[in-house]
Amino acid sequence: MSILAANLKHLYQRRGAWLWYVILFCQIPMILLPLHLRITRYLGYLIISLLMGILAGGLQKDILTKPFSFCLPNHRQIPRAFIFWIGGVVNLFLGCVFLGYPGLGFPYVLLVILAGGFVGIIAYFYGAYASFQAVPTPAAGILGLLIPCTIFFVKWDIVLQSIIIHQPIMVIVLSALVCVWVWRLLGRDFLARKYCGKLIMGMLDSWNRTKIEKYKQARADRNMTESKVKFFEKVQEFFLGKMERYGFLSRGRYIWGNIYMVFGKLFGFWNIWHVLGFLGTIIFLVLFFGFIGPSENDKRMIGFLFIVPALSICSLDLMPYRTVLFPAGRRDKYYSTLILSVILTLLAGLLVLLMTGISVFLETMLPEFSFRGGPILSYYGMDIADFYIYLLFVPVTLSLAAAFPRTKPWFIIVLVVVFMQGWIISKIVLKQSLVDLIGPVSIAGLIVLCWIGFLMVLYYVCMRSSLVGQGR
Amino acid sequence: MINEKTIVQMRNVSKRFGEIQALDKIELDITRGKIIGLLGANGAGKSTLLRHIIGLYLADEGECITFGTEAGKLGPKELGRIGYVHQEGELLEWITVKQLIRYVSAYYENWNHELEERYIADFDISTRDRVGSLSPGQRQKVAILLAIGFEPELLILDEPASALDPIARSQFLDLLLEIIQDENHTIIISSHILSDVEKVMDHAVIMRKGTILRDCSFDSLREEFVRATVTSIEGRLPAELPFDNIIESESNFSKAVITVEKQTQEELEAKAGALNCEIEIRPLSLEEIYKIVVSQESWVKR
Repeated sequence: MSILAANLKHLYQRRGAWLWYVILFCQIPMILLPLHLRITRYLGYLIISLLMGILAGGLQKDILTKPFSFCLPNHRQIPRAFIFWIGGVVNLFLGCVFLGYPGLGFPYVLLVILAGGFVGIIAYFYGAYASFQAVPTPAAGILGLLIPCTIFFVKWDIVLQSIIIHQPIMVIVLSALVCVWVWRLLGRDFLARKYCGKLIMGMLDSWNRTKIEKYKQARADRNMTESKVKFFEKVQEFFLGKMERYGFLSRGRYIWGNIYMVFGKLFGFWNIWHVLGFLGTIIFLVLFFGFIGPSENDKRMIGFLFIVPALSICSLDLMPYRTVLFPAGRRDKYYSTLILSVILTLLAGLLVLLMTGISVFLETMLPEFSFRGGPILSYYGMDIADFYIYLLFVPVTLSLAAAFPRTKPWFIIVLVVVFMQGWIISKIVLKQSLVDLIGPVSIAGLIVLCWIGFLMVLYYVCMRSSLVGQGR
Repeated sequence: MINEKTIVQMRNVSKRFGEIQALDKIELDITRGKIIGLLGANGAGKSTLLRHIIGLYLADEGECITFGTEAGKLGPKELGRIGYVHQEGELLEWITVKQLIRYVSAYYENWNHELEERYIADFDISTRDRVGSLSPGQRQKVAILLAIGFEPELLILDEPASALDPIARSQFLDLLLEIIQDENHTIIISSHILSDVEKVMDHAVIMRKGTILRDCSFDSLREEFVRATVTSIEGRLPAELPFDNIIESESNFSKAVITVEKQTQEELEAKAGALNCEIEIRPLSLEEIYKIVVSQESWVKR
């Protein structure tokens, strides 16, 4: 097997890539809809090119960080071959979308397809470049997607499409020059030297807990200052003071200790930029989801924000550091985790209320507007009557966090899909909320059932199962 | 029936992880005042066994009693008597060593601050560093300190010295011997560095594929296997040497090196004398004994 073939196998061997394919699959309407609706905006496929570039670049960066690859014979040229091979095949295929463009005769259409493919390759290179350069944080992802979204929003894609249609040879020549430049750039040794052995988070590492932990530690080391250490000491003294109010064998000591372990850790990694980023993300989400929806007249996707805080609870380790042996028995772990869950539920609930308040405020403030003669954009706030969604989701996510500490990210995805389907069916298709459909008493009963379920799961995990996994 | 000296009693304990039988009908008693060496290859079930003792794992079958309480129901009172150094050395990464020690010590009424200070000085631990930034060796030192700081009655060490340098390992072994001076203390140490364990242990438990091959005092194990060099005083040695229970044998014209089991020095000397041979007997190292024990399939059935 050639080295390139071995590298290409990563496309299906890396399980994280499968999720990427699901995202790519969801972009197919971007290609098909213009053909179906006879709208002459064909460059939606550039999103797929961009995402494929991110995937290809991410996979190669990941391989380059592995020290063994540095010494592999003839491996230095593989990132270039890999990126160009995938980019060429995918974008030539995507460029065929111009076969549906009206009025393009043969053989001129072949030139346009080639030009469209080359433009796709440029978007693909941008994705690969971003993948090599950026740390895959949610902020980087949002920023990366904002650029193409803005291009489509201000209709620059129509300008670009016009150039492709009318000046295909110029587009081909210019793009080919860019390809030559990238070819030479990727052929140099510096990539292997730059990334070999570096602790870098790859785009498919989101579920590699060990690597995430190492990365966090390295980042925390960089951010550690004398004043921060002193601040932690004060935080610790606060929690130790709470612990020491209880006897040595008392359960209260373990409950406060568990709370300290979760919240102290947050203090350990957060700085002022994280706080600002957190607030900025909240405002962005409230704004973004307030404007989007599946149809012009029903932009109620902001209801998604009722489950976001519940999902974020899921990312916490409810029984942190299970293998560090404090003299806490299984029953102590059960009660301390339970109380921690209640505190987290209250805090996340406050966050939901905060977002609801902000969105309601924005709803009264933001006027309807239209951009460049496009559709009228109006803002919808969160409806406090939908708060039950949060109360339904929290026990589910807490149960997942307790029972599947390693695989819970997959369940988060499933939960999001379930919520989206349920939300769309009830609000958009049936034009009713879940409360209208099954009644408030049933909803209350469902919430109680979910919480009982969580208590049972937690009891089983703490009292009946292994508290550590193999290798943990 | 658990007696006063027995602090851990495992009866018919089995544990399975999917297709892997991690423990298979384990019978084990651990008594006070000993250093027990738990030996075995990777995947032999050592860590699983240790985790059953402290109730991190619950047995699929059988029972494990620690300090008179079922391991799954151990509470703060019993767990406060057990120190545990975890194989992976998982600690609280986000705080400094000083803060970690302060935090862990808050759980123990009998935390020995004098011992803590001495250990920090002897093992050259920087308490100002963040735990997450420590080298593997430093992490192991901190983990050991956290496990011994409250002078536990039962100290469980799961690969505690693998990342320590030779000098720190030597200091660590001295520390174990110091701890065991108090006859109320018991240490279970699982390690691949057999030359280290050999220096301190007085009881051996050898495991393979989830079963215990040997559970006996180290002295009796050492007496059981010996290696002898038999040299003919005159002429060549017979093709078949008349010694019983030969495990390994290597010979040339007038000299043979044999490894035998369950033979006393007197018996060997008498047989060598009858052959008109000189015999030089030496005990085997733990590593040599271990290799013999695990390679003998027959031992599995014992």
